Order: sequence, then C-alpha cells, then structure tokens
Amino acid sequence: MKRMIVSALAAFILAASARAQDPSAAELLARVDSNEVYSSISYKGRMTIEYQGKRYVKTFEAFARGGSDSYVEFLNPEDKGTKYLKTEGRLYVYSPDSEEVMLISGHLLKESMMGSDLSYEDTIDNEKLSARYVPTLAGKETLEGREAWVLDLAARKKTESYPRQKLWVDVVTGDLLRFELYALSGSKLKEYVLLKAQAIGGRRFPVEFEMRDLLRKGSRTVFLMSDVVLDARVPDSVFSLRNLER
Amino acid sequence: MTVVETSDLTKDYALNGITVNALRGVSLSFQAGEFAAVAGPSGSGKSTFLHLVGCLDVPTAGSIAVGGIDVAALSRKELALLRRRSIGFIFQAYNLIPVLTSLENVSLPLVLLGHGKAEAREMAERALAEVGLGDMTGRRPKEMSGGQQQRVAIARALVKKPALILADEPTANLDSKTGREVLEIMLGLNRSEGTTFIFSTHDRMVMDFARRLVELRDGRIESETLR
Amino acid sequence: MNAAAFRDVAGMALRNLGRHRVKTVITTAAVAISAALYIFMDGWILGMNLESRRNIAAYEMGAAKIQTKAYFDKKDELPMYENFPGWETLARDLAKAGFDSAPRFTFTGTLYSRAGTAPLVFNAVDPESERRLLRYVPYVESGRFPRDGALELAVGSLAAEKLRVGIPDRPTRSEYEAEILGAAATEEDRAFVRSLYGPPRTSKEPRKPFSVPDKAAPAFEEEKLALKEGVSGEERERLWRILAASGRMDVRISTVIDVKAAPDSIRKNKFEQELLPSLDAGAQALVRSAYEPDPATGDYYLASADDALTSRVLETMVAADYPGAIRHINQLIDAVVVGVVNSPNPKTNGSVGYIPLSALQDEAGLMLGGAVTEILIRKAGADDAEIPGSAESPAAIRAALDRVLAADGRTFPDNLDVRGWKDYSADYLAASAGDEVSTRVMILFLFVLSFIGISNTMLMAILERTKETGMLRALGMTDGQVLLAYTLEAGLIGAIGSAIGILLGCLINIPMVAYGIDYSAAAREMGGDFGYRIVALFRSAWNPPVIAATGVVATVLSAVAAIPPTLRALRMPVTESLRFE
Repeated sequence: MKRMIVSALAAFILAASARAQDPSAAELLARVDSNEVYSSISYKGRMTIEYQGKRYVKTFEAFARGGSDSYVEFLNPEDKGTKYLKTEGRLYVYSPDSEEVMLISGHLLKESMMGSDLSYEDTIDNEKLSARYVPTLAGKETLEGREAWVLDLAARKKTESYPRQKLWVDVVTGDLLRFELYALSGSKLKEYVLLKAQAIGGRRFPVEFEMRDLLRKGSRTVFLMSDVVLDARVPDSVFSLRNLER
Repeated sequence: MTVVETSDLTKDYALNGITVNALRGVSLSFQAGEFAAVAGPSGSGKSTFLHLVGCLDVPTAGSIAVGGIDVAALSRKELALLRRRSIGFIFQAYNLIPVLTSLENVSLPLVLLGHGKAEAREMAERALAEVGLGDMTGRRPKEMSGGQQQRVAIARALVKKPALILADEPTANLDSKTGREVLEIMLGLNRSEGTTFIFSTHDRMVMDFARRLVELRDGRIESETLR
Repeated sequence: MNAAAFRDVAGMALRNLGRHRVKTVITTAAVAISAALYIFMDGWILGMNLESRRNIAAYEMGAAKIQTKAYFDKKDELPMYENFPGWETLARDLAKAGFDSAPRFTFTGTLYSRAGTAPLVFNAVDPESERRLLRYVPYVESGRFPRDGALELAVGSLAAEKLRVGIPDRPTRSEYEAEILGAAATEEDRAFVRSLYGPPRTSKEPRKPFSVPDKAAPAFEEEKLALKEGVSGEERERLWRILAASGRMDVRISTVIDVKAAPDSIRKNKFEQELLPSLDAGAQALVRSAYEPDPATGDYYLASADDALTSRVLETMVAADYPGAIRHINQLIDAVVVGVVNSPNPKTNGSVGYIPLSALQDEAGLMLGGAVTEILIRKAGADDAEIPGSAESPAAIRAALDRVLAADGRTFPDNLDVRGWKDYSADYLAASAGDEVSTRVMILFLFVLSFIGISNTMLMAILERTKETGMLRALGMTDGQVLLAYTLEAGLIGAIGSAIGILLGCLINIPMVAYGIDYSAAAREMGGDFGYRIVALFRSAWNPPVIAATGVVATVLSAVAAIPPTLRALRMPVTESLRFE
C-alpha cells in the first residue's frame, strides 16, 4: 500500500520534462519516492483475494500519516476486529481471537497478510527506494496503451530484502503502472499492476491495483479504495498501541 | 513346690456390650505333680481360669505366679517364651496344625525351643509312643479319629516336659470310652513323669479322675475336694 | 529363631500354600503375569531407546557437532546467520585427530513442486562427507543422492508424498492417469508404466477399530493403484526418468537468507527506546561509538569506517536480539528432486531436504561463501551399532582436536563449541524418559493389582486360620515368628509367581530381541513419526538387572502384602483366637 500518493505536481513536471528530453533514472526514482509525501490519508478499502479457485473479500478502514504511521481495521464479519498498526517501522497485529497484540518481525514478515498476495513486509514502509537502490533507465514500453519508462533497480547492498526491482512509470501521468520484485537469484517473486488511478484533491491516487505472489499459483489480490480523504486530521491516538487493544 | 499360685484373681470382659464377671476373686495354688480338675457348669469361669493361668490372657485384677514368676510383669514376648518353655496346652478341639503330620505337630514345640531336628524327632516319636500312637507318626490330623487327634495333642503338650499342662475340657468332644482312655493316659503320665495337670471339665466321670477337684460357680470357688 | 525352626516354619508355609490351592494358583498367576509383562515392557522400552539412540547418532547427527556458541543458544530457531567459515580446515584437523566429519548448512524454506507446497528444513551437505558419516544416504528408496555442485535435492519420503514428487507407491486413479501415465511420452513408455502399476495389494484396508467417520473425507474414496512389488532398480530408474522428463521433479526452494548486517541508519526512537535499553552500559557505549545522530533529524547513522568496530557492534546487537541487525533477503532457487530418502530413522524421512552445499555458495544459492552452520563428527570407523561412548564425547573430541591444533601452534576458534548428540537430543531424551515413566507407571499399576490379590489371598488365609494362629501362639510362638511364618508364605507365592513370570517374560523376549515386531503399516497410519527414531521395527533388548530386580521386588512386595492381615490377627487376644470358628 505504499506509493499510493502521486503528487499531481510531480506528474505535471514529469509530463513537461518528458517532452523536452528523457529524464534521468535518478530523477524518475526520486519522483516515485516523492509520491509518498502526504500529511495524512484515510480511506475505505476492499481486498479481493482469488486463490485456489476461491474468492475472499475483506473490507477494512485505513488511516495513515506521514508515510511512517498507519492503522488498518478489518470490517468484514470473518475478520472483524483484526487490527494492524505500523509505527516506527514496526508492525503490530491485534487478533480478536487471541485478544493479544503481536509484533510481526523476522520471518513472520515474509508471511502472507490475511491470506493475500501481500506479505507483511510489503506493507511496511522502508526507506526511500532511491536510498536503497541504484536505478537504471531500461527504456520505454507501452503498457495497455500507456507509454511508460522502465526502471531497473539494483540494490545498493547485498542485504536488501528484494535485491532487484523493476518499475514502469507512466510517461504522461507519472503513475506507477507496474512493478516487479525479484529474489537474489533473479527469479521474479511478485508483480504489481495499477488498475485505476484517480485524481483526488488535485493529486493522482491509485485507487485500484492488483498484486500477484507468483509462488502462489493462480493467486491474485485486488485492492480497491474508496472514500479517500487526503490531509484530513487524524488524531494521534489512532496510531497508538492502546488503540489496538481497545 | 508351688507351680501355680493365684491370688484374688478377677476377670471381667465385655460381651455384646454387657460386662461379664467371669472370675470374681479366685485364690488357688497348685503344687508340682498335682492332677487337678477345675469343674463347674458352663459360664462358671473354669475356662477363663485356665486361660489366665496359661498366660493366654491377662486378669482384670489379682495376680498369677507361674513357677514363682509374677506374670503381670512380663511382656508379650516373655509370656510367649514362658508358655513355650513351661506350659503345655490340650484343647477340647485338639487344635492340631492340619498341614503337619502327627510327628511334626508333636515336634513343633521342640523346634520352637531350639532342639535339633534329629533330637526333636526322636523325642516326638517317644512321646507319640507314650500315648500309644507310635505307628501313626506320618498321619495328618484329618486322617485320624478324634481320640487319636487328642492323643497327638497330649503328646504335643508333654513332649517338652513342661512344668504344667493345662487341658481345657479335653474329653468334651470324645465319646466316654475314648475320653476315659485319654484321661488314663494323662493320669499315667502324671504318675510316671510327675507332670502337673490342671484340667477343666463339667463331666462327672472326668471329675472322678481328679485327685483334687475345685468347683467353680459364677466365678467363685464353690467347693474344693481332695481325694 | 534358629535355623531349624526357620526351616520348619518355612516348610509349614510352603505346605500352607497347598491348602488354598485355587487361590494360590490365581494369585501366583497374577504375580507371574505382572512380572512377565514388566520384563517384556522394560525390554521393549530399552530396545526402542537403544535403537533410537543408535539411530540418532547413525542417521541424524553423528556423535557430536561443532557449531558457533551463538547458534547453539538459539538452535531451535535454526539461526542460519550464526554460521562460520573454514570447515575444510577443521575437517582436515578432525581427520588428523581420528574423526570423520561432515559439514552442513541448515536452513528453512518452502518447497514448491508442480502439485504442492511444503515447509521443509534443508540440510546443505557435502555428499561425500555425508555418505561417509551418516547412514541415511544409502536409503534413497528411489532416485539417487544429489551430486556435488548440482542444484539437486533429495527429500524425505513424507515430503515427497505431500509434494507429489518422486515415484508414488499408491497413486489415486486420477493421479495415475494424469501424472504418471500422462508423463510417458511414447506408447512404449506408457506400456512400461502400465506394467509397473496394478490394483492395490489389499483392496480393503482394515478399518481402525475406533475410527470415527471423518466428516471432511469425501464419502466416496477414490480408487487407488499400487506400484507392483518386486520392481527392479533399473525399472525404478526408468520410471524416474520418465516422470522427471514430465517436470514432476522440478521444484523451487523459496527461502529467506538471514544475514547479520549493521543497519546504516536507525531511527531516533528505535535507537533510543529499543536498542539502547536492551544493552548493558558497556555495549551502549560501544554502539554509541559507531553510530552518530544526524543533527537535523536526530536519527542515527553508522559513522564508523572501522570494520572491526562495526562487526563488534553488530555482534552486540545480534546478541541483544535487536531485529534490525538481521536482514532477510528473499531467495528463490530452482532445483530438481533426484531422490527420496526413506531410512530407518523417521527424522530423515519427514519434511527434510538434502542439497549439495557446493551449489549454494553464490547468489544463485545462499551466498554462503564457504560458511556452514555445523560440522557433524563421528569417530573414524565407528560401529553403527554402538551408541557414541566416552571416546566420542565432546570433551574427548575437543581434547583430540586441541592436540592436533597445538602441534601447528593454532587454537580452536573461540566462537565455536563442540556439543554432544545428547545436547541436541534433549527433547527426545526427555520425551522418551517421560514415555518410560508413564509406561512403567501403568505396569506398576498392574503390579499393585496383583498385590491387592495377594493381600486378599493372605487376608482370607489368615482369617481362616485364626484358631490355628491362636494355637501357635499358645505353643509359644512369638508375634515375630507368626509374622515371619505368614510373610514367608506370601513371599513364596511371590517367589514362585515371579519365577514363572521371569521365565515367561524371557521366553517372550527371545523372539522380541531376535526378530522384533514389524509395524510399518501402523507407523504409516500415524504419519510415520511418533518420536522414537525407529521406522518399522520394534526390537526389544535384554536388561538383566531389571529382570532380576523384577523377581526380587515381586517377591518382597508379596511378602509385605501379608504383613497387614497378620498384624490384625496378632492384635486379637489368644483366647479369642482360640474360640474363633
């Protein structure tokens, strides 16, 4: 759920500069990073998981601020009361069954979140991509009729969780149309595809996207966001551990 | 020599919650070589008297001396040793050990006294011969008549040459002829060995055998006769 | 009491046994059965334990392991980041000291096959050393052991079944059609496959006696086929090739490479509120000497360029379990299953994979760069039938190794440790001790029952002989002698019973020790692993001290059983006993 905010301003600059000359890889990556700049956001989410011929729909309510804190509470009957809190780069989960708050760390971070194609790790905000990867502009491709820059990211350090990533950035809108995550061996692990971006409060926002964990055969998860409110005031108490147990 | 001396012997026991005064102050003494009968109807206290003298029970009051020893001062174990060494018993029901042969039954007191096996066997054989059962050494109690069993019991009582033999109604389970035979054996032994016999009975015929007859009634001495 | 009197009392006791013949026989039988059962169970437990211990050493880990001390402390988590380099040198030194060794890098991951997924523990091994040290290697039931340098896997038979790799023994009809027959590309191969599979050996499997109908199970159970018996090695090989060609053996290992790495930057809150409080004062100073706060944000940055300092700081953070010091790198390795392991030790046949260490050295593997997590050690030429003894104790291995190292003026690395197989099998040893206790308690319960029987027999016997007891006491038997007579009598029941019991127990034990019980079918029902390291054969062992002790204990306890009723009889006055009818 990162890279959800696209600054309209950045998009215009991108579109403008694209006309003049090819942007550098570093510039493109910096813009992708800057998409995450917002003060706060709240929205209603809907996660549709298709796996092993079955379909699960989960709904939730999410609040996030400053790119580092977020809070998600599930609303669908099966998962009602399950809450996630991300703060200070750590992820906690509250399960109503065990009535306990658990810190998700180590190998648990690699596990699927709520059975979706996202791992917990994928939901944690790491440092900016530009700090972790060296980008290379690998050319221009057309995705579903939209022109996109292809960025190849190689990890600066061998210890990066995904040693390689590949990004497709819309030449016109600056939308992150697609990205792929790779294992150390070079095998592709995950794919993200933007299904629909919307202008909200003057910014581009990915309101529908699809995530695929390629190890899970025939599996995909579609995220749909609605009632998005940007820069609304969210009380501090939302992002506290106490809020999880409430 | 006084073998037994009782003084003011009293015994009460509870029977179904009622106190029975079995003996109410019996003072008697028996000399070595006596052949005495303690007689009386049932309930007169004659068996109780014999049991107390035989150190099988302790009196409620009064004292007993056996061979000059005050038994009140003795422990359970010392009482057992006194019985083993000095007292022979003959019971109405013979009370032989059913799994043992007559020879073994007779040897048992000797074995308890620590006699060697060969010696015990020899003495037991002699004792059985004395009661006229020299040919029945290998028989078990079940294989013998009542009179024979009682004769084995007599042999068992006398084999260790005790100072005192107590016989509790020895003939009560026997027919009169057999009873007489048994009494004659006892009397013979009394004469030949000088063994002191005290026996209880309610049988006139048996009383007639006694040279001293003490009659009890309701736990008291009613009469004493010497012949 | 003198000897003669004792003999007579004993003789009387023996004869008294004959008086209550039926009761004596029943009681004696009860004692005999208890004793026999105890001897049998004890032999069984001992046999399983010995075999399990032998199997732990022979199939799982040798006599001892060298690991880093840090690894041993967290060994249940399989912390792959606590590894060490230079196993080749240590192996050479161990060889000089008279020990075989085998390096391993153990990691966890998920194995994806065409048909399934299973979490496995992977042992990256040196095939040559592994074959020399451990005995599971020849138990590759089909296929072969992986070759050095190749991304090849051998997996445990249970994992193979779950992942539907290898040669299936009992495929369902549809699995057979699609995956086995379907794998054959030519008509000739199809005919060959058909010739190997037939109807199952037993069409009706015996139902478990207490099984409840499984609601989850389909009402209709699909027909199964079975691999015919007596399929030759060559035929298996050909079938394997056919199946492999269809992609059945192609797998992917999804894992996470855990490495220790000092974070470049740590957020202010995390540094001050999480990392520092978990350290003692010295460690705090050390960490502060390497990290400096950014004046603008307050976040901390790794400022030290001193590698030695950085690595000490890193070790400090790892020791304090600071999660930021362990990085997790996603890895996905394509491999091919070349063999299925099914050895007499279930631990080698479960969710385990074996892969050559040499294939995982670079970025296509686990970036091992020569590191291993452990070195397994066994005395050179050790007898598999033997449980590692004192000559293979960690102390002995360490001493021998130290002598070799000292000759070259070297020392054993400070961060490593030699630990014995028992240190790693504490769970098993504790569990088996627990099993043992519960089994023994059950048998002891049986003992108690038979002693209640003896007590009862003696109670009746003594009650019946109240008058006789009175007579014996009148004859001058002391309380002690009466007690002795009756305890002797009861002890005789115990002695005769336990003699018969010992004979019976030993007779049962002879075939149990020589042949054992094959229960492979039952083991399969239980998922193949129930703690003991034995796969298909229970074999008992002789335990002479326990056999002797069983006899003694049964006799003594029987004798003791006579004491309470005798004491009761002795409390009764002699006169009352004599009157008793």
